[in-house]
Amino acid sequence: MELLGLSDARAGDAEILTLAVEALRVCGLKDFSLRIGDLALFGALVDGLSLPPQWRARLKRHFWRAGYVESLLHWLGHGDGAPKRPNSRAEIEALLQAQADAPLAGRTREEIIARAMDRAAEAANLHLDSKIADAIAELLDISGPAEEALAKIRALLKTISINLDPQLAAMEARLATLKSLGVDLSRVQFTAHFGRNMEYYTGFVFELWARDKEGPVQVAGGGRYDSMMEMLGAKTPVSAVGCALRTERLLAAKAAPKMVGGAK
Amino acid sequence: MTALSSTPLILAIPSKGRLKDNCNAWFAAAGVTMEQTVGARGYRASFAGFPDAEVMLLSAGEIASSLLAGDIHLGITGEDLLREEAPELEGRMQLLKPLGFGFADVVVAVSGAWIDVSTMADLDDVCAAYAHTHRRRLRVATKYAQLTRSFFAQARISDYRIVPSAGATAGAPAAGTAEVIVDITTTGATLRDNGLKILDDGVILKSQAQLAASLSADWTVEARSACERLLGKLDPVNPLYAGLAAHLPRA
Repeated sequence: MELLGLSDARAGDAEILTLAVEALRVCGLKDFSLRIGDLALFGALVDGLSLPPQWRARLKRHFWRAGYVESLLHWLGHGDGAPKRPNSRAEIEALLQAQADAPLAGRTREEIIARAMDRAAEAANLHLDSKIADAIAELLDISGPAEEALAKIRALLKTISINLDPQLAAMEARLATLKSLGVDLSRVQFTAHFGRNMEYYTGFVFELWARDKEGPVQVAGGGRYDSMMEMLGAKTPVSAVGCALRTERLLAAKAAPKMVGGAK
Repeated sequence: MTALSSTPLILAIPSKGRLKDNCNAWFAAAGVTMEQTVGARGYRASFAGFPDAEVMLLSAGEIASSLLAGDIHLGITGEDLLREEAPELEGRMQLLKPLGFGFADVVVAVSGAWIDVSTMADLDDVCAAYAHTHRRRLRVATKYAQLTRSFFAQARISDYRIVPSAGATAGAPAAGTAEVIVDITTTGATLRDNGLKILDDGVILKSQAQLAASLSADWTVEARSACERLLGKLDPVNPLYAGLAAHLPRA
């Protein structure tokens, strides 16, 4: 099921999530747990960092590669210590003067100097406060019952004075939706590094898990993919949120003998 | 039988220069004596005691294309030329042994005056900016069009155009016929003389002379046994023939 073009993202998230939960119940599956995450949270966090735009894009692009994004953060925070001083125009001109015998090879002197200055300015900005870099890595590691996890994130963000209130409020609204549906919030696990390993997701992601006779199975999953319609050729942005129900697994989970303590 | 000779096994070596001298030295060290065939203008030879093998002296480039075409069984030439000739060696050629001479790197080099360019990522930016500012694509002079295309594709660079260069590639940026070059270098002296520098991550291939076998040559039973005997003599330590035989079709 998909909900396309609804501008109120919160309402869209709530509707799809509600449908998924109700669908399971209609099928007779009462015992399930949830895994949730939100790519927009990491996106907004990275957008707030004082880094060159291509570096922000790089961090977001590599969110999916567990370990790699942490190593990028470590390099940014601890790489070579203090921020670099940008070269002045005079220094850059002197560097070019030292290469007076080399051909300009199709570019103008001014072109080379201008880009050298841009690059120097970028290198100077290529540094993250090590406290911030470490806090982000720590944040990405947070995983646990949703309410506790969100409290941890709030506390961590406070230490580095970064405000992600709108994103956190959106997550709390989703938890409120689940609560109003009678879902036990201790069965909802929030994982900061959770992106369902599909690069088209852009925001809220969720999976519903149950047990069949062999063990835990994902019976439904989905999320928000606001940039997909444009990638497929739409001329204007089209908000998109959707979910798939895995009917075969649902039936298998329903047929499985009840476990004491329920699904994990 | 192959088109070039009626002898069962044909091995080609470079016809001149340091590569030829190094081949001769390698043969001599293995106790194999090469005898130039009289009257063949010096382009054919044989090994004493190996009547089933013929040596052809060809240009290094011809050796690569003859191996690919299956006109010769074995050849000694630079890995740069082999990989340029056949970007996918698998199933077409087998590299049997790096020979420890003929070292050369295939590199991406730009003018030393480009003080803002030291990596492929910088070059990517400059290619994009150049196309925008100058309304034409930045030109890369090279005789390694294949190697250049695949290396630039890996670096996600697409705004450039290849200018084939037959020789004196390093002079192209100064002459104004190209902005960037891809060429071989051993000491870097020629590049420096032309005011060029190698990009930090611009080494495409670290090449050296290779003993290579064509998998599409006519591998008759006679060719195989001659090859086994010759390779065993040239390198008594490593089972070169066994490595090759595993990739040859059934005789």
